[in-house]
Amino acid sequence: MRPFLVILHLIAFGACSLVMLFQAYTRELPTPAYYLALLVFVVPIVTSIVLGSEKLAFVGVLSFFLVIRLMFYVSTYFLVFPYGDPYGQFGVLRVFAQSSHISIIFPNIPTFDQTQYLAVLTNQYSQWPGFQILTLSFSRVTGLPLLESALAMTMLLDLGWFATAYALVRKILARTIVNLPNSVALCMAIITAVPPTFIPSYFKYDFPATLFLLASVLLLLRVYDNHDFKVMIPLTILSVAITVTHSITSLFWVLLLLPFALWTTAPGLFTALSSKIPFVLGKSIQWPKFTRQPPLQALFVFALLSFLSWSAFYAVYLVKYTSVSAGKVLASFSLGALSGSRLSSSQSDIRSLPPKWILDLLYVRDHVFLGLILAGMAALVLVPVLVRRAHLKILLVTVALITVVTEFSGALNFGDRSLLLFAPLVGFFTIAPLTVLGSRWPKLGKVAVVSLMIMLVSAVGVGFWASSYAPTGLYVQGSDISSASGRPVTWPGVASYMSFSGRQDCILTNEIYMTSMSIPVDEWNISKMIGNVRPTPGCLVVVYPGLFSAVNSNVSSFGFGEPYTPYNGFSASAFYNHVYNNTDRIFSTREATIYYYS
Amino acid sequence: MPVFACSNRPKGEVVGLRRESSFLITLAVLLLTSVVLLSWLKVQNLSAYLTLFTLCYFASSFVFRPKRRTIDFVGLGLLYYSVLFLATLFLV
Repeated sequence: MRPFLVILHLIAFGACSLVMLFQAYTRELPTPAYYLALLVFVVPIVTSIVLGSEKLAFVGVLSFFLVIRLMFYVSTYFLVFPYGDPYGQFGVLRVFAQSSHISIIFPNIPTFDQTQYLAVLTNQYSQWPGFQILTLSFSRVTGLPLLESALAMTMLLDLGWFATAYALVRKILARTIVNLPNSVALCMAIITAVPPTFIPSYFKYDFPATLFLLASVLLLLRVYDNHDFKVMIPLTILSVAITVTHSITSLFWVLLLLPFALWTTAPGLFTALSSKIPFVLGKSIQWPKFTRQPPLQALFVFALLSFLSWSAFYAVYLVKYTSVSAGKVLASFSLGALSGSRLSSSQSDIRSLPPKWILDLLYVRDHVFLGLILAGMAALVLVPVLVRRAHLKILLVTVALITVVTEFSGALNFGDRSLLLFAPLVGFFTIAPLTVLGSRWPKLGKVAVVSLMIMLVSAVGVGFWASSYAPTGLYVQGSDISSASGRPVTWPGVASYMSFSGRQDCILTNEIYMTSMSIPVDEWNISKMIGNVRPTPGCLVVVYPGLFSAVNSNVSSFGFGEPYTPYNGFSASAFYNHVYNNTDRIFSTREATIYYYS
Repeated sequence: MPVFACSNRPKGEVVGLRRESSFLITLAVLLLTSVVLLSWLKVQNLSAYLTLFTLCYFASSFVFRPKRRTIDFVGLGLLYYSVLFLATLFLV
């Protein structure tokens, strides 16, 4: 009977994955068929976790994770990167590939652009070239073209992230008192549904840096758990890799090492703390037995100095950012995170697109999730027996502190930074209250686990990366994918028109075309942002009316000032009125309109 | 008094290099490589040299964990001057 049930589960996982991806690819099936497939997917995932073996539960969670991550790419036929940022990253990769040289890309230097906006992005991305080096090496070794290499790297990083997160969760839960069924798979299912981890993978530098950070934490635990000092060299290499790949991740790595460095330097201080404040470390805490503590203070100094010196000597953008935004970071602390909304006020109009019941579900999901995290943090402090190993407790308390601080700061929290970085550790916080509940009332604990799983997995299946709106265009029958992806998939047609239209010495466009890879590098020198310059004779103006552009609304979604000032000396309405009245409309679709100023 | 604890055992008794010896040899190689690399890149900034020396020192210390008889004065000195130089770069 048992093998039959296992096979039945595997068939359900495979069939539901195929149906969901098929719907994303064609959008021909009725929408209820998609919801049915999702429901049929959710049920075996829950039953495999509650009743099945660890392997079966692992297969279920992994297949769901892959489907969720692939939905965007399948629906856009692997032609488009999600959002605008990866295009800037890809632009840097292409320049590195063309020149076979890794360097900082400055504006005003051929072959690059003088667009100001794009120059800022690419200048910033080129200062942390770790990801480009990795992708370029991958491309040269495999012989794949750059775009395919970029997409393949994104998928590989996803798989790497899942494997590392699984190993980390397994290691942590093996050293804590967790009485839930298949707790590792349960935790992985929850973190697959953590808001920032179910977004379609970016081709962006913070993703490999996240993977490096998780691998470093895993090695750090290995030093304390297994007394394995052979991992010191890989740990040092990973620390360097984080430094050259992403700035904020590097800073978080330093912050994570700080308490360990203090512990190594003054172990007596921590022992005294455990007796003075037993509610944090606990009297029954188990200190690791070393003849000599591992020299974590040396790693801390190494990571701190590499971060600072990389910023001082190479990535000067961070120095500028720090001087501009330090005050704004301090001023950005608020309780807004508790509202659960991740949509800026300028994007509020897109709230009306998805059905209300999905928005309600996402609203409830976000608040339940937030409540679980806060309850988990409280449980970590108030229930000392939950985590008795000193190094694990120090790690989790540090992560909790970083998460709380960043979540309540609008300037530090872009992209839910700490949730993205520490997802496997945050997963522990979400199951900690369930553990406490299960230890008191086992039946109630099981009911809570099942209900939570159904809600989280269903919510991610209908809402994907959304919190305040849902990209239902990925699966609704007959929908236009442009509305789901936020990006038209017909750029190559526009680009070919521009390349054949002859005399162009000025291309003006709003944000997205500038950051799209459909612009050849040669054209970047003549492409400028709408908002940065006035239209003049000879200009080709490309307008994507449906796209949100930071320049158009003159706001920054990051909460800090960008280094450019759009519409300096003229307004957006004056610009568009001028375009409508004084130019020839030569090409127009629902997605884009091209005007020529003769 | 030597900074690192040295063995009193006669030569030949220890199979393979001791951690302190490995640390010193690696550090020497790293420092030499740093100087050659930075001068090849025509770097004339003293703080760049000092910071890279400090990074090499702490990386080697972390990997080889040499035994010390007293406080790590060398590390503290390098750290002090590196932070001083870096603070100047950040604030000026």
